[in-house]
Amino acid sequence: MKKKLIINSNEVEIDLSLNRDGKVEFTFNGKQYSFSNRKVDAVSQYVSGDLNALVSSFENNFIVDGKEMTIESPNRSRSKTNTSAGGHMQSPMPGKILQVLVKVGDTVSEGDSLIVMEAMKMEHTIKANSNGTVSAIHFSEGQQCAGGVDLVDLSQEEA
Amino acid sequence: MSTEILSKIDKILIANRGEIALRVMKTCKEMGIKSVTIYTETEKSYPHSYLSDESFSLGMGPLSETYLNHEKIIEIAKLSGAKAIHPGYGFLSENSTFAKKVTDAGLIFIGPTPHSMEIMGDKKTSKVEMEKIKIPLIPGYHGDDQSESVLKAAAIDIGFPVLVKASAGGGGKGMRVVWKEEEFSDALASAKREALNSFGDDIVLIEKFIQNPRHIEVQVMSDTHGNHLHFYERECSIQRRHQKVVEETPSMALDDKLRKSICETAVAISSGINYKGAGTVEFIMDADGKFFFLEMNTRLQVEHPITEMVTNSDLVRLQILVAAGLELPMKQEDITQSGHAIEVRIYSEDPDNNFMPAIGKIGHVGSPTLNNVRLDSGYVDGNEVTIDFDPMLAKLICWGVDRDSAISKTLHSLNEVKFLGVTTNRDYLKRIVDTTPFREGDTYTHFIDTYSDLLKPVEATDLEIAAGIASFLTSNQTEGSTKVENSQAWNRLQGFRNI
Repeated sequence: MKKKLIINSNEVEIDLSLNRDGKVEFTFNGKQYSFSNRKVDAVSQYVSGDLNALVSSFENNFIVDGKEMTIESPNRSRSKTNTSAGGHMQSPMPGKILQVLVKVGDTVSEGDSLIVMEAMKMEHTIKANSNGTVSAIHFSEGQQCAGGVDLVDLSQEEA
Repeated sequence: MSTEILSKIDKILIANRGEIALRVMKTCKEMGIKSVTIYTETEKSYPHSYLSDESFSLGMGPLSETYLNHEKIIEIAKLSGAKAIHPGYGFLSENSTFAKKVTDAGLIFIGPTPHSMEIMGDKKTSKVEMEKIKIPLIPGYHGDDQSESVLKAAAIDIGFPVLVKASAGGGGKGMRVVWKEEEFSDALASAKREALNSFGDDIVLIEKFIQNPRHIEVQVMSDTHGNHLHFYERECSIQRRHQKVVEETPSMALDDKLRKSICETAVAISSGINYKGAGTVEFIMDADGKFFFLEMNTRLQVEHPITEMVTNSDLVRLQILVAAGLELPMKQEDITQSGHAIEVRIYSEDPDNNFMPAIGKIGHVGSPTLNNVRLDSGYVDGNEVTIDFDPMLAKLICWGVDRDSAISKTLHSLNEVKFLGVTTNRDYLKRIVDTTPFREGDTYTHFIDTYSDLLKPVEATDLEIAAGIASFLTSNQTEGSTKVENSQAWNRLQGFRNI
């Protein structure tokens, strides 16, 4: 049975099957894995079999031998898959807009500073992720904004 | 000793939150002193609000009405019967007006005199004082004329690169390095804006920017009987945007002679201004071992635990003792450095995405298991990390018989302290201490920029991802839908097989 997962914001397909003992196996990136798990504490499992690793997890966060990753089902995914290809510059987190450095109609290059915001008591500069023209600015100086909302829209230049 | 202290100070109000409130509380408990803490209405689930002997709500509102509200805090102290107030660090710890009000209210302020705080609290005043007692200073402009043309002329005179710094600043806020004359105006405007936002004051000073510098600081402690001691150095060269990330002691850059010289200079300062209590003298040291006075922090420092580990002392205990008017119970020659200690600061941020601050719910903090490893954290399982307070979640402090051992312990312990649920710089810290330059002691304040290539994330291997998938497939909470689709298999999987 094919199944899609979102791992670190990237879509990954695995193939689930049952072996002769009735245990779940899966194929990932061309390789078949069979395994056993045992719960070792409230948040950790020891995965044995083909994989010998201590895995801790909470909600969609997993730590495998110290390395962090997020794993989610596509239909339950809380994080957006990489969407920055579009020209929407978003706030990384809730904060306050300190300075708007561009106006609608301005031509900007990748890396140009667009907005300075304050979040967690530090200044963050929102930069253009591509060349383009500023088509909309959604906040003005002094306003509070939520996390993950559009701050500035860029329309792509036709070269 | 204890009864003498208790007769003066048997109850302390801790005017702070998070890990530092818990740190001060720990010493109170060890000394049999009752502790009183304060919290805002949104912090009822955080341990500083319920682990003390008494705790009082500050209500809700901006910091000026809660943790920075002088009158309210003093009122709570009097109401609770506390004899003294410990300010921790940050918040009111270096506010001389508050210290005065505390004393005027008949309470003991655990810290230096308001006068010392005033001298050292302003970077300009402190440098003038230091010049008087012949302490080496970095070339710079500390004048009152703040017009852009004068500041720019001063920068040109000193020679680029220069550092623009908020006079009232700290923690890297309101600070900019300017490499070229053309960049000066923009950098000045930005530094002034940040300074005004953070400190309500946009006076700046300009200094020669020293390249390849190390940040070396000396812990001092003075009593009111004329004893001015030092507890050796800490090296805090590993910084990002002027915020310390990794601290260690002893410093690899000091030999016995240099160590003696820098520590004695620090004591010349503390005795020169007749200081009282715990303080830290910060120096910048160039590649030739020439050091210059940067500033003195008139409080306990975030990274004080590494000094405690290496000198086997409790600095908060000594602060309380001095505040009670007692004499320090040791002589300089009794204080020795033993082994090596490293502190790493765990921040809720994503180092692999431009260090964006992260928020979320901590599912599991985790705890270190090795000997002589200390986790100073203000969070417990289930706590939310919000944008309301500093993104530092915890400090992990590892002591080893030597530096290599301290590094090994740091690497291992960072795997144990997981802060599951929130994105942290945990893996990034591991990358820093595991680099060859760090292991060789090649630590300069630009370390993180210089070696950014060595600090890039290592992609998880297929095997590691597969282990994550295996765990995901069998974890109930994330896997409602698959269970229904393939219920037979999942029923079989529920009985984990021990192999």
